[in-house]
Amino acid sequence: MAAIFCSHTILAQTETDQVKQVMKKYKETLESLDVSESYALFTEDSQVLEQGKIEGTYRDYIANHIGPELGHFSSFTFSEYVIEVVVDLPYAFTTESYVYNIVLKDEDKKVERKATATSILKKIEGDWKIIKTHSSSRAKK
Amino acid sequence: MKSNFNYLTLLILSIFLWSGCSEQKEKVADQSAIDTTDDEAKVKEVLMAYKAGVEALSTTGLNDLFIKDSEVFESGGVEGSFSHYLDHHLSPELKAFKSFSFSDYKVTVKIDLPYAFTTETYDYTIALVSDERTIVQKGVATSILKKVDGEWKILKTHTSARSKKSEPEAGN
Repeated sequence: MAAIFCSHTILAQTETDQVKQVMKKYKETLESLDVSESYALFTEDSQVLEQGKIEGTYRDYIANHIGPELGHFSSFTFSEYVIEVVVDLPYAFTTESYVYNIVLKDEDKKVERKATATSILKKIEGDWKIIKTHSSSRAKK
Repeated sequence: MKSNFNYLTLLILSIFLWSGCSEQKEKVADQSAIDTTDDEAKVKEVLMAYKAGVEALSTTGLNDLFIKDSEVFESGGVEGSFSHYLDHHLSPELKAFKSFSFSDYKVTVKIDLPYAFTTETYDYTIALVSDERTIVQKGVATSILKKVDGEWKILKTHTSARSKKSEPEAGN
């Protein structure tokens, strides 16, 4: 019985780690300012929401918002990053809180904001994919 | 002998876990065949009850719409459980409002029992008690509801807004 309990715990931990890996990869993608290799992190019919707006699928978001936006940044970094993951197969629910710092290319302007992102991931054919993500931010006190 | 015993234990455990996974897959596959119309209507009722409470500037009964250890997020802030949000944010805020109204409201609901995933879009207009100022914002809310003992409750909700005409700050 103890062995079964341990196995379930280990499996749950593995799933949690895999989910964290997907979210980490997404943040690293944004920090690299190159989103070209990130499509596989999301399902094709994913939904992205950012600060009061539905952006469409992840492809829509890259084409119409974050793709062009990253072109204006000389750097984009995350700090004070904390993630919580709840796994209930086939779903995982995540909450990320962090501070982001942006340095713009054209002007000597820096943006620093406190943000949170809540996401839903689904395990599809063995891979965790983001099906919905909602991010929002506020001025850092 | 001990080695054979360990191998047998591992084999039984693998079969047990595999059968558990198979049941989970079957459970998931079965969801598509279930008529979720009634659940969808009930989920919308929960969300509408919340909106109606806020529009009435009344918090009576709102706690019952959420599970005890719910999580609330609002525009970059982690607000804690709904009960905490109610005491420290929503109740004091509603006292400062003369009126709060939602318009252009749309909701989409996806049911996958025991969960429901919702996305709401709306405009909201707030008239303040203190002065003649009116605030108009475009908002979105994403929520996860869970059916617990036959009742839909909000497990997690995240709202964010932007000025109706302006774009938000760069980044997330």
